[in-house]
Amino acid sequence: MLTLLSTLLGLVFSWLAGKGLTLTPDQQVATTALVTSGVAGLGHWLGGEWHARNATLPPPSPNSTGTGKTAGAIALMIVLAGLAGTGAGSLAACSSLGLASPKGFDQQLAEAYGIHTAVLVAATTAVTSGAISSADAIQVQSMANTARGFLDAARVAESAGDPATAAGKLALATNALGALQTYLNSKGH
Amino acid sequence: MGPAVSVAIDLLVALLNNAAQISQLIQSAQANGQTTLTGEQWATITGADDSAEVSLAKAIEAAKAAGH
Repeated sequence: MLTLLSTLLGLVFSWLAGKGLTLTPDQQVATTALVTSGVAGLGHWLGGEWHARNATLPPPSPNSTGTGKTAGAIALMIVLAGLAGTGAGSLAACSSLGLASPKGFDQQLAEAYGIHTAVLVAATTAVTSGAISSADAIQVQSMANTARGFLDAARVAESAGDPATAAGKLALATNALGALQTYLNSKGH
Repeated sequence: MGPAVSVAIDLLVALLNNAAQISQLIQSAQANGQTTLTGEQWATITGADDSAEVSLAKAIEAAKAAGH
């Protein structure tokens, strides 16, 4: 599966280059690491599913779009597992993508906002494709709003000269994104 | 390229786009010797997040209208 994933990522990198977004070899390596870390978590979930269902996954529902919805859900989990599994890991992954390493709290908070935005974009794509239902997307929206509240509170506290509160709020935001990942993993059908 | 791969690519592009945008802001700040981001830079970051929230809300409404 990881070989297939690497092949898929190679296609992605080639497609991106055609769109004018060329990643350096280090960025490609880091991106692959980020995605495969999410796949590892996904694989653990899938392994549980296989054991629970006697190595047989249920067939797609008759009204589903089948491969598109399943792949959308899996892709969303890959992104979110890689992004939100651990906030520190996600922020470290941002650094390993050849991006600027956080030098201070502002930079860390900015990257957390970036992760939050990516989660929203990914959820939008997933609900649009039918990979997740509108009910699930509403739950994602609610959890994302909670995380956004913590991010905004962190920025307010930081501006007010209260770094301890700011760091605490950022940690809460990170945990909220982690809870979002757990929720979506449970919806990966 | 089938719909399944297209969806996966869309999600990865979202990740990369957002990571790249934030990185550009951070690098710009560092190049200017900043240790904190300006109000304008924060407005750019939160504005992108606000737009994403609006897009998700619209997508949810469209999905509900379609009975999904």
